[in-house]
Amino acid sequence: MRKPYYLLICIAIAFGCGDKDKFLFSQAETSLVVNPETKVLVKGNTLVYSRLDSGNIIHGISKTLVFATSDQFKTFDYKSSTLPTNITPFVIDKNIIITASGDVLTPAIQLSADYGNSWTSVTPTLTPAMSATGYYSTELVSVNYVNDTTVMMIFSQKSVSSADKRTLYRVNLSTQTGTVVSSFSDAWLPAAMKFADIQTGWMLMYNSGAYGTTYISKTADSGKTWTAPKVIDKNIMSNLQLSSNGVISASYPSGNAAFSSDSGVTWKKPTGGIRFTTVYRVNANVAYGISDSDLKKSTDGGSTWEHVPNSGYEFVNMKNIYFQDEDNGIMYADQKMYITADGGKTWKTLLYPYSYIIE
Amino acid sequence: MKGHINRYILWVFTLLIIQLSVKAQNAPTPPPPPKEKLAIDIDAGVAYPFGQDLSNVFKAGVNATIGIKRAFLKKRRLWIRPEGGIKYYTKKADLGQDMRETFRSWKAGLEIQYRVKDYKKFSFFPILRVDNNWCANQFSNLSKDQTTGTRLNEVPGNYLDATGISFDAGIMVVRAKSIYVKLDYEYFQPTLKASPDLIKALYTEGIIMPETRKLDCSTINLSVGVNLNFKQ
Repeated sequence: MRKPYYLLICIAIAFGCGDKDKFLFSQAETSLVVNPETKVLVKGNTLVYSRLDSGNIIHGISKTLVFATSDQFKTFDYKSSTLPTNITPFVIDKNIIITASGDVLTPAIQLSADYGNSWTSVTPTLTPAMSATGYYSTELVSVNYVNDTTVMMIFSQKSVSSADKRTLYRVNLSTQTGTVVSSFSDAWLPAAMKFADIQTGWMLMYNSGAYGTTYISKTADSGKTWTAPKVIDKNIMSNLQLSSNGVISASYPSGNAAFSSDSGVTWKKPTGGIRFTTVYRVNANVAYGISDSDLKKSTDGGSTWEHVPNSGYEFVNMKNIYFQDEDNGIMYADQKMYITADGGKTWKTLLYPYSYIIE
Repeated sequence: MKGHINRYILWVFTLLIIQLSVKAQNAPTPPPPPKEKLAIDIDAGVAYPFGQDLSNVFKAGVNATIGIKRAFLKKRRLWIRPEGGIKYYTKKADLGQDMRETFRSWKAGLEIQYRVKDYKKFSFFPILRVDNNWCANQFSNLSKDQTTGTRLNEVPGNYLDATGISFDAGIMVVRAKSIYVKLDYEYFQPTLKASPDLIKALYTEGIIMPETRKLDCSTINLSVGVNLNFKQ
């Protein structure tokens, strides 16, 4: 007669038991969003620059590594490479990365021609040498790679009592010498400089007597002469991006942007006063920008911008976007990187500091 | 809260069945075979997960069914029983806070019983059953608000849900035409659908969960029950 009660006891013991750390939903076969091996790229590291090349090859540099992948980080190559301590922004174009380090009056040019895998340091002998006498500040604003043997450097010097000065040096990497190409003592100071080739270059400038407006000046003779500064925008901009055929863009991080398709003669600015976290000009017509936690696209050279329909993506924290063409691009910041193949409508996570990555 | 009520109902129900069984066993002589063609079978018991997906999570569950059956053939060898029931699993879960996970299947189907052998007071019935199942996997919060002492809100909605067909085969041993023990194997592999909220929550943790997944929820069931004839 007691057997049914034994059965009941057995049921009571068994019922309610189970592994607290296993759940029915976790019995489903899941997969990870990112390759856990990317921990080496993400943990304790910060992305500095990355680009998407043809063949969907991604090259990038971080604080301590250089990396490349051709299959969206399913597999990837990486190598320890400490970035030089820089006194100018890193200027990166395809495989070339250039910056300057050391003393501003006798800077060392740090050049990598292989995406940051190896670096060459050149300390050119400047003729005449830079002198800080009479100036309360001297700044090396930009170092530009022009070709295998030529680098352009633009210095900015501020004076209390007399005119400010900007000096352009042309450095021969083979002879490790730098000679002055042009020097101007006036009210204009450089904010950024880019050379498209040995002859043609542009310089963003501002007027030290009327700070707050960005101007552009162009050279067509290797920097010997420059056009009169032309107003771009009533805001200071410090980013200068060159595309092909005189397609140039100027922007300020987290702010205004302006776009020219005729070598800087005329400029288009976004209607409605859109402020961008970052912008990227794909070609004369198409540009992408992140604004107000949203991806925007222009197809008319930067005048009008439309929301790219998408949802749930982390645009708010993205500091950089880079598009190989109108459809294929990446966006990244700090420890995160996403890729799109449909013009920003959908994004796939490539790098992200998930708990299984950073723990 | 709903999950706890279900659990208490099942316990009361099980105790009732056991008590009836004991009373029936205490009867001095087995009752005469019912002449009626209609009867009610009520049973309850334990379900041991046989499929790995379910056994990884729950060690055992309870099940209960009720159905009216009708006899066919001359010697009332064949009984067909439309029935409904429930299968219920529960356990504590650690999802960063104290939770209770439950997996519940409501069932409705048809059972076929065929009396193949009578031996002394016992009758042996191979059984076959087909059920449609409505399943839900839920989590409820066991944590209490430290200030009010009341239980925090339960996690809304189902984590997983599914409908699917299950197939049972087993044997029922009836004693003295009134109480019975049933042992059967239930083959059940529903395609469970994950809730969009769960998929989204896992994705934010860097985990991609498929929207649907077939899980092996097969079980071995051992039940005791009573056979209530309309007239005895």
